[in-house]
Amino acid sequence: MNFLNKQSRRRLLATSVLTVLWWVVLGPGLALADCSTPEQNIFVSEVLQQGDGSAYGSLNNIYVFNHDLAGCHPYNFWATAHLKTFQGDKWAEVGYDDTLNGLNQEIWDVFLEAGINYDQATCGPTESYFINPNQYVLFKVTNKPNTTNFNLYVDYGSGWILLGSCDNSFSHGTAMGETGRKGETATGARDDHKGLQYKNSAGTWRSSSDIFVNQDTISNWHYFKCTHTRYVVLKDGTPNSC
Amino acid sequence: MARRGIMIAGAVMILLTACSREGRDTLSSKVPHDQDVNWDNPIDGVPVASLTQAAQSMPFQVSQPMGLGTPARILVSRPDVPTEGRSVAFVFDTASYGRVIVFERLPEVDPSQYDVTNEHLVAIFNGPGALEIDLVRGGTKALVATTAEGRTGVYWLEGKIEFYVSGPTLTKTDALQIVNGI
Repeated sequence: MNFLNKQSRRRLLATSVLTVLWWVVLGPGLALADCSTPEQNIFVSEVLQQGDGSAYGSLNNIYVFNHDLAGCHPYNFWATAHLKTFQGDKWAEVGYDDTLNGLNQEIWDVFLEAGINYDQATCGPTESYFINPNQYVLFKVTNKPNTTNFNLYVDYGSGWILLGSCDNSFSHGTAMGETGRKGETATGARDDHKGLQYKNSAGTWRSSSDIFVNQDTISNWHYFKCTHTRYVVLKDGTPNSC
Repeated sequence: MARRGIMIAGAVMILLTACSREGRDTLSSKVPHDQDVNWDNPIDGVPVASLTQAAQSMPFQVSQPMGLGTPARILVSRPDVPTEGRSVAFVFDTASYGRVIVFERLPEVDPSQYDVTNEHLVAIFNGPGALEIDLVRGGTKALVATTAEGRTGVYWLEGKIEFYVSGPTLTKTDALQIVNGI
């Protein structure tokens, strides 16, 4: 065990102490941005095809990006497939978080959540799988017929995986995509949702006939519509392209 | 002495690793997203001039909430919302409670299942915040939802119409007072 000389031991000790001090002082609380402010979001609604009044499910193919992160805990950036009541107060969603673990390492987590009262979670948020960035991942929230229960799925290349179910007190509404962040401008918000689909009352998945931005509170990024089933979120000042 | 230092450093590193795992666990803890609600127009609707105008596009009989004064605005769902999913939102700016929103809509569950559905939500709820069934308006069961930050919303059914009272700063006490007074 005596494989280090005295000088090396001192260096190791000093490095360890400095590492601990850095982690304690800066690590978990590294928040150059204001993480106490409410989350910021872009919600994009799907327009249903003629004859379909309400969506009973939402399916989004979302690109997992590597973002600048403010260091907020536990969330920084997230993107989800979302189903909300027409009033927006009840919801079910599934998507991914881009955030930091306790060692300030960037991780990408699949998560699900449902709730009422606008921002009161009654199910989750529950993280499950780690996923790799720089790929499209499918997310799907779907109402179980004649119930107020939702199944939430992910498919990152090997077929649909049921992540869990959430009870709520609604069954249908608006199919959406969500881009969200904490940490204001210190967190990037790049996003790409394609292949947007909704489930109609007959249980058939159909492509959205159009999309429109429903809410945008992300200050330095903006929504850009590519097609009737795809949109991206781009930093202000960059060319609009898909 | 140096060996002891290395041992201490090692122990600290182990502790550091443990803390990082704890951080991962904390990530999985129940910290809800605190969505930035647009309390000026929470239903993403369109303003109308009067109760009469609001009632024209609704599939139910709209009631004027009492005891909160004159609404600052009345909002109805956008025309592209299917008729059965439409709602009215009365926005009040009150001296006592701050901003108060009274929503009216058809419930998304069969009225006979309304209380059962809410009671089930309460039974499975494990925070954060609080979810409970309280009796309001002389004996009607209401779902009272209070966020971890203390903001309360109350849902209840009258006949076949669901009411929902909420607001950015409403406490449970205030919300129940409003519900019992309108």
